[in-house]
Amino acid sequence: MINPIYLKKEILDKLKKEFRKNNPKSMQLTSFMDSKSYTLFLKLISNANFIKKEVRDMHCFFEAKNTNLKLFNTKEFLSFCSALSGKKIKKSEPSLRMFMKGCYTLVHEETAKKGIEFFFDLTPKWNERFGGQVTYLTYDGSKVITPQYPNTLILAESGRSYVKYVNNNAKSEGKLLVYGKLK
Amino acid sequence: MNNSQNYVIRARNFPIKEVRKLKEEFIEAKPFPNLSIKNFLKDHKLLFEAIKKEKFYKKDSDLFSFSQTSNLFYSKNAVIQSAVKLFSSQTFSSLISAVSGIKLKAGALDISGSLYEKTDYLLCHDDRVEDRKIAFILYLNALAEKDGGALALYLNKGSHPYKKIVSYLPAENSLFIFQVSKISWHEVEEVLSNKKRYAIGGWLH
Repeated sequence: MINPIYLKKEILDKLKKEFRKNNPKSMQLTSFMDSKSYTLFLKLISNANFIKKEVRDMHCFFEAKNTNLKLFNTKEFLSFCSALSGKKIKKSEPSLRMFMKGCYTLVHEETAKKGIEFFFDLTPKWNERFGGQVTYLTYDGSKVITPQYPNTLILAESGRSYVKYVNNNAKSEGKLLVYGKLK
Repeated sequence: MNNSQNYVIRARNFPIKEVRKLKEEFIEAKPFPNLSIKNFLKDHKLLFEAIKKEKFYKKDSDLFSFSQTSNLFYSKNAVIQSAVKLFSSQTFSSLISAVSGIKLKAGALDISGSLYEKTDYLLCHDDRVEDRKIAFILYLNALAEKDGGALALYLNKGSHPYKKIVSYLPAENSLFIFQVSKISWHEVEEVLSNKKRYAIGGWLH
């Protein structure tokens, strides 16, 4: 599943160092899945049914119901996240989310608990003008806006992340992400 | 008037009968006490022209994207100074106190100009910071439904906003006020057109 390049010891060691160095502790890995696994995964979720999840002062997005996201609870994925973050991770709680125009998540005191989390971007074509950027607030008050590419994993130690409001430029386009807390 | 020092921004007169009526409207408004006062200033066009000349700074976070001036107390523009003087005056706080039934301190306000352009917005929040009691927004130009930029008020369910029940489109020279509380959930809807949305706003304490 994981692009074999990221599993090479020398590469992984380098990534671990970078993860710790970044503020917040984080890493963005493009071409995260090998191409065969990525194609299969896209096929697996292609029939997902989405329902709107909305608490106006916290979030607004569409979440897939009964989607097979077992990939994010495989030993391979959890071990990789453990190795990269240096934290012992036993399981993940993934959810497949679609951000259409008007969707967003906010940093909210109820959910802003520090922990390891990931975003896996599945959006084939996305224009920065639409919004929807995965953004991290650092504790020194600045923010880190992550570039947006499909088949990209963002792993971070932070509870202060948000998905920027998707504006009307997006029209009928949607941003597709798997988000998960790692425990 | 050629001498800018002579500019005076004044509110129109409010007879007691009108104040009583406004008070009723404020108290009975849903989903929380709020009120729109039409034709608030006598000379709002002067202020509109002045605010357009101020420097606006882009503000962007998870909650919002719009542009704002610095605190207008520090503006060097005589028209704006005159408007700040009006909004800090005993007359203004007395009027808002009379309308809202809430005791307010004269001069205790924060005030800035805001500019929303296409795709700008301010998501749902309650405005509760420190001891803010009344929020006020003076709209300097009008927007139509197709332009977006309406002020939406939400009914609460528990500690969260739940359902939009009022959508107020900016009307030129209207002063919108609402009571700041744990249920004063509101948002500025995204501006959808190239029309710019200018306002002056702040809080009374």
